[in-house]
Amino acid sequence: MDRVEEIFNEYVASYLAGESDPRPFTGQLDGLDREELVILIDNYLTTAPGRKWDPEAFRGSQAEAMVEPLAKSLVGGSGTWPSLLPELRHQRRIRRKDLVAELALALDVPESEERVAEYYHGMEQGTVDSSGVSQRVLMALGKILRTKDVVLREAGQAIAGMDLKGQQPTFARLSPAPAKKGMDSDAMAGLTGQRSPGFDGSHKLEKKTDLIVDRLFTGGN
Amino acid sequence: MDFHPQSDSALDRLTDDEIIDYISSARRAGSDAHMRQGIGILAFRRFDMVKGRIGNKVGADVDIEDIAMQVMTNAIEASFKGEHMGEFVNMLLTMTARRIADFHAAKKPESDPYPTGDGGDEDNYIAVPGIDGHEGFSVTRDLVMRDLDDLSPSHRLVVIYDIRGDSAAQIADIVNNKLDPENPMTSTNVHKITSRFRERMHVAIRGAG
Repeated sequence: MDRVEEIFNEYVASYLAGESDPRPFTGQLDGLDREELVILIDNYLTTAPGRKWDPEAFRGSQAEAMVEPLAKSLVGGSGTWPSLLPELRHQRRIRRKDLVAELALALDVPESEERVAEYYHGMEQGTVDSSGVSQRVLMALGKILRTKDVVLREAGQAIAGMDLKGQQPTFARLSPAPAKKGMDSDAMAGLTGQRSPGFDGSHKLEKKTDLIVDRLFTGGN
Repeated sequence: MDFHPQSDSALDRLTDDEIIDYISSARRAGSDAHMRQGIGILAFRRFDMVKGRIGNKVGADVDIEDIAMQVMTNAIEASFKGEHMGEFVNMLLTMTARRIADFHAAKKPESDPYPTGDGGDEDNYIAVPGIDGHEGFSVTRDLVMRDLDDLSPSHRLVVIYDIRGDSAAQIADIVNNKLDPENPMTSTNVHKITSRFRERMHVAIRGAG
């Protein structure tokens, strides 16, 4: 058995034991020997058996970490935002808090950062109805995350065949927002009866800009 | 449609595509827990394959788990958006290959796409044997590797052994032993593959000149 084959067999044993990173193995060779090993591993992986279910190994694994955002993408009204937005944020190395501050600034509502945070959180959680999120928000968000607003818009489309049986369209307030004394007519017209999760109507006096934020995240266009 | 919950071990016996159907049925029935159960088993089953293929093509300093998670997530989402036909695992392999290509494209310097071997680091060049007694030529490793990436594993292996100087009969024998391809390799196949490879190298170098 030549050296390449020997290392290849070691890799297969490692893969079957649950450690699939080939780099410690390919790193032992160079030149054409390395290329040969890479090809053998690649060929093996295209037909390798899937990992047998192991609840112990699953706990705390990357596979487990994927479940929540995927489930939110599949049942929420935010399309694939629950997986895409954290991914883009991670790629750009922006903390959610910083993104929200930038977004509030870009939308000219820095004093309503908290409200923007609630909506953005809902977008990542799949609880915001994507059709209500305005183009202005998506353009600002796209700039921060260095992607096109059209990409965000498409990702936000709810996944086909979705049937919210047993699910609440969680971000929609079931009754229209109560009119507030002094509410500006534009903001009032923009309200669609949606409100961020956890909002109980009593925690703080709404700012005028909060209503603008509501409109930007729920009024569409 | 009726939804019938299954145990983890029963789900583990299903194919990928049957698990996707199960997730779909659970979703339609509003059973979040069973939808999550199916996603978890599918992600766990295929994550290592994706991670391994990415690790096989990128440097030691790259966070392959992160990239593998993105590919898996995109593939599972795509299967519910009707964006793929055929088996889930094939889509996963395609998406993994695309992601690796994107990764390398993003890292590639824009200048000097086809250096032809004048000067520079000699270790970075590979001597390609000639055909029928004609003199061979030297090309950059980068150029060879880019071409190899577009080939199937058996064709890639043929090129590697050809560069090493093995005969067509030897190459056919080794490839058949190592990869056990569906259609066994013959000396004629080897000649065809290596001739095409050399021709592509010539064209690439001429194009760069």
